Amino acid sequence: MSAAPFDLVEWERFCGAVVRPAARAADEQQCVGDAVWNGLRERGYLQLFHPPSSELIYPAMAALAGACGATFWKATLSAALAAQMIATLGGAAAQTRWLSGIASGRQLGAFAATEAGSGSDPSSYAARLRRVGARWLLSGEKDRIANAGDAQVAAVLCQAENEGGEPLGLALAFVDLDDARITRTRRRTLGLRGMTFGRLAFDGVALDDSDVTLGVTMPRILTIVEWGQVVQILCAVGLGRAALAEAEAFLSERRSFGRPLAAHPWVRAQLDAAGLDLDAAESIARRAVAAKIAGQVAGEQIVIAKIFCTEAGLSACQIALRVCGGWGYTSELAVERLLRDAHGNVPAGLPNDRLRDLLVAARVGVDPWAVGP
Amino acid sequence: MSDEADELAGHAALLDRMEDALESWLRWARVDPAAPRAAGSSPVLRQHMATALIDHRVARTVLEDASAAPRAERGHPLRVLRRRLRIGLQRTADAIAGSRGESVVSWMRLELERLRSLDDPE
Repeated sequence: MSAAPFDLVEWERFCGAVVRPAARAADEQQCVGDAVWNGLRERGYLQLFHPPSSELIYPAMAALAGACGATFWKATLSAALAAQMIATLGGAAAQTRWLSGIASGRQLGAFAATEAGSGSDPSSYAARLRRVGARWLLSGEKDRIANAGDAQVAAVLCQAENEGGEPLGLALAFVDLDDARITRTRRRTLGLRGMTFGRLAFDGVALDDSDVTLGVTMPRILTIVEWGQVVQILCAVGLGRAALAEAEAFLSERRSFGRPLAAHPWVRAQLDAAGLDLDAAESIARRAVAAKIAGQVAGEQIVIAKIFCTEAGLSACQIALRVCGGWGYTSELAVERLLRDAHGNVPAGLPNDRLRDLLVAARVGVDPWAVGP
Repeated sequence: MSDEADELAGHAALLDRMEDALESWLRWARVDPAAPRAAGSSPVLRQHMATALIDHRVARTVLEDASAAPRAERGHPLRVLRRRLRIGLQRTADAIAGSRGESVVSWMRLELERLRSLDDPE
């Protein structure tokens, strides 16, 4: 693995010449190929996030996101989200055991919070970490987890309890997913198919104290989850740009009524409007990512960016597909895959409708975490 | 001042006025023990409020970027900004009018007409 400084020009070339052409195969074969993964490792992309303070993070992420959404999600959720959970909330032993492997790409990380019946409400998590003698036993399941099928380590958010079954609050467990008492189930997805997504079932997985951090709070967790939202923000903008470029290239070649389709006023207006929306999305995305790179809690800024960018990216993909007519609906053109991928950014990192309520509820005197009609 | 600088100053003033309108709307909708059924108790209305807040914040960010750009490069950022302002004004006016009545947003409708005259029709 190279220890040389990150070369952005070479990285952008690699994304365009290697990752983008392999995106269709990643989708069809439901995995990221070795040439892409090894190239990504060798160029030091994953190391950019250790620590995540380089100004090259934004352009590097943007280049990969536009080349292949699934590869981008797989790599960046591991390096920027799972690894940050370990680096920020893990003990020294967990950091020593896992961080260098994730940074080098030899190992893959996952962050496991949601369950089959629980999404953004941690009080309803059923997975339990129970004290038994000198160790902890993790039981239950996590579901709809990115990288669940091939990660080696997961930061698992769960409820902890003492030997008497009394609650100890939220805990984060750093779990070796090669443990024989773990079952993985891959779920089929609409898009981002090169990345595994699914269920992790824990059947009394034994953990040491060094694998467990007690007393974590949701506000603390959410500041790290912001890195996951950065993934969705950049992925959405990258997919939207890629879809518009694909549509533009197709429509420039295809003639109708005596001129290229790209020159028809209604087609032109839709493509231009979608491009303007992505420009606005980039303005706000850059601010949000800059805040994270500076080590700040981005809070409302990133919530706004997540909602706006993921919807602008999805809209751009929809427009790209529509203006390509019947061809857009086929898998001959990449816009079909890009649109499927773009849908994945909206529910992830807390669904946009939920984020909208979090943004406003407190301003109008409503507790956003209270259960109500 | 240049035409672009004049236009940016006008858009900044519009965003200030919209911010006041949003704050007023949020206060009006506020739920408290004396008003437990206030408009803010509606999850549907809160979705519209969030969209208005987002539209405003994105437009403000684009305005700041356009203002920071060299004068010769402001044309495109201004197009982005006008579109954000038009969309934001339209959605915000519709949402406020839907909960508080049309008279509260009559000035927004006029601003919308003015903005539409600045740019290419869509």
